[in-house]
Amino acid sequence: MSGSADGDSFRAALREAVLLRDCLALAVVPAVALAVFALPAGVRESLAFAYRDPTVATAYAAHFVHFDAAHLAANVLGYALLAGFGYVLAALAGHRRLFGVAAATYVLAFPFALSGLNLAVPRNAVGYGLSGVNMAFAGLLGLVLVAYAGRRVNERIRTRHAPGAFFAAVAVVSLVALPVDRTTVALAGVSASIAAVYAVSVWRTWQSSVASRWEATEGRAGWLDVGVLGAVAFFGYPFVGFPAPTPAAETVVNRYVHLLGFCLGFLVPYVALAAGAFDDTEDF
Amino acid sequence: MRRSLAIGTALALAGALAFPSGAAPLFSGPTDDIGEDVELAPSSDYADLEDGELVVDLSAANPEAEGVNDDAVTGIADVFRVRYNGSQYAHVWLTHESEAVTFYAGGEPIESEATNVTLAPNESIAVGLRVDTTGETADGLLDEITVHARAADPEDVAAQGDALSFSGSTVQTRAPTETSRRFTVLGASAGETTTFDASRLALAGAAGDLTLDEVAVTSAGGSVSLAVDASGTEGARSRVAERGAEALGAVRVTVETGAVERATLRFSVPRGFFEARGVAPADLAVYREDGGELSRLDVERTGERDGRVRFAAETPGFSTFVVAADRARVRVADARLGQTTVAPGESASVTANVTNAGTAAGEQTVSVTVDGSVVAQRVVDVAAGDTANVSVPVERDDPGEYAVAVGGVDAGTLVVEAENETDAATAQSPENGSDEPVREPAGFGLRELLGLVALLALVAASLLLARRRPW
Repeated sequence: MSGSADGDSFRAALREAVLLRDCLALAVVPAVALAVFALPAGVRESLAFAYRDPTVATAYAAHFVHFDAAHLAANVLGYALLAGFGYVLAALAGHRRLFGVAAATYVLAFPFALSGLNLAVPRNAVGYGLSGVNMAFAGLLGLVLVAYAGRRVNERIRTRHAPGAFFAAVAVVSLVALPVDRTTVALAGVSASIAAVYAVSVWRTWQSSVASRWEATEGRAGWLDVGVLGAVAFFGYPFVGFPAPTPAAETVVNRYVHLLGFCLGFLVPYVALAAGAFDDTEDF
Repeated sequence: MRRSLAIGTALALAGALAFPSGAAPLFSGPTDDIGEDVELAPSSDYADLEDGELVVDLSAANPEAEGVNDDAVTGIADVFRVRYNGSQYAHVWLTHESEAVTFYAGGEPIESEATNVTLAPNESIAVGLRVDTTGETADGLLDEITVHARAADPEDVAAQGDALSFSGSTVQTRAPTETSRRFTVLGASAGETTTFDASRLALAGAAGDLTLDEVAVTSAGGSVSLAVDASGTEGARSRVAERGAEALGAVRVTVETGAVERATLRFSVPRGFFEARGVAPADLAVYREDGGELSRLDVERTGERDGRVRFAAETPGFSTFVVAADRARVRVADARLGQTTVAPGESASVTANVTNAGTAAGEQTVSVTVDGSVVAQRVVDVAAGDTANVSVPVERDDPGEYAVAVGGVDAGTLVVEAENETDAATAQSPENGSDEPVREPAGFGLRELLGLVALLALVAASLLLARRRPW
């Protein structure tokens, strides 16, 4: 059966793409989060980012601070899902370097940026938790998903089509996170329209290559499956990252930092890619 | 030879004599009421009343008398009595045409103003006469005698006290009208307390309810004359009402003459009077209104007698007194909302000032309403003249605008708005009164995440199954 041969080739490619050192490097983030969680609560409290008393150290450290095991578990699991999928797709799409640089940026620089942007809205609050960084990986997932699709599913899909996925996700986010009113519908509509423009563009290229399409698909079943799963993860994540507000609790889920992380997580590598900062841009 | 002597009487009002009217006749028997305040009453067999006129008959025609001897001087003691019913002291003397007849009182003739006898209010004196028939006296009658009475200044009388041989003070009480009393004490020594009987002067209109029973006066010595009036007290009553108490009755006491050191007013009410009006013992008050100033006198309950509850108040001086019940006047003065815009389910505090403009402490149940329906009640205790603050949280689950009021006083409109994303991000810490910062965990719901993982697993499994079966 040709499928099994394809499966073998997919698995071989997967084995080849996924490197232990990369996995270990990616595991550093949850390891640090777990280590910080093991610290006494008082110490963690001092590491949380107080918006009224911001310091450079807490601006960074706060993103690895968790006070609640469920919070930590959700963030570590979310990280594993997003960074894991992103890594696999990027590696299979030949964007290992892009992913590595982006991930390093997210882990090393984004905490400062996200904390700093949080200060733009002055309020008496403390912020902590990994999900801002997680959402950056979600943004990256949208980019590498499109890159992967272009590389492994249909070569007519190009990385420059990625904003279509991004805006589709933004449309979902606005419908999920905001109360349904005129502004929300308008925002979702505009985002969906932009996504639709990209979709039409992709569809046209697809149509123009009907002959090769099925052939390509037939021969790339395992590759397609991973793409589908990546898409489900990418479009499913807004439902997780932008929960409806819970008015009763004394905590407020910082959806602002989620949105920031998601947007920056997509924009930064996309712009870098478009600007030709990476060698592997021949398929842009 | 016996001569008969008939004496008629008349009254001359000498000088500026003004006797108050209305004195009750105090002689037990019939009297010759020759004026408003002077009465002549027979006190011997020689004297009698004929057609309301005192007639003294010494002739043989009088079966009780034997006439008077010729060429002799005949003295008869206590022929009739003169009683003075006025409120003040009066100098009394008698004049007539006859030289043969002399009237005596206390062994002295009383036939000119200079030799008058001074009568205290309600005092009577025995008048005797002496008939001298030794001279050329015409036979016959003494047609008329004139009784002179001149009001005496109490000071004069007091000054003459020794000369007049008064011992102790003399008290006179009169009731010129239903609603007034006149009290006089003469010759009181300094610090002496005189008690006047006010014969239950009704203070609240209806007789028998709230009454002034007695006025005990400690004078600075000498004489004191008081006018007590239950009418003309409206000003003081309304002043007490302004203060916040309920006026039950009032009396005006003025010192007409003399000086008062202090006094005690004794009141009474029928049993059950206070209960019927909801007056607690501690809330019974007597207010003294003096020149626009209101002061509260201590009230002492002095027991019960004849089915009446008695109480008394001591005052340093006289003016207008209002018996009143202290009342609480508790009301909501103002109300306001702590926050005018909240999220659904978030509570806003509504605060109200509850004042007591009355004279007694009181409590009130204050209702907080949202759109007219009561959502909370608080019992507020407020001391007299004080203001209490009450704060109640209100919350609504549904977005909208709600009219909030406390005790009927509008507190404003509470706007309940659904939170949106920007609000959540920009919201200041909830107004919980503490500086505790809001915790903003950047994280995902574990359940949602597990749901996503389950969805991925489902998709993966579906794809796997689809691959295994040929199309």
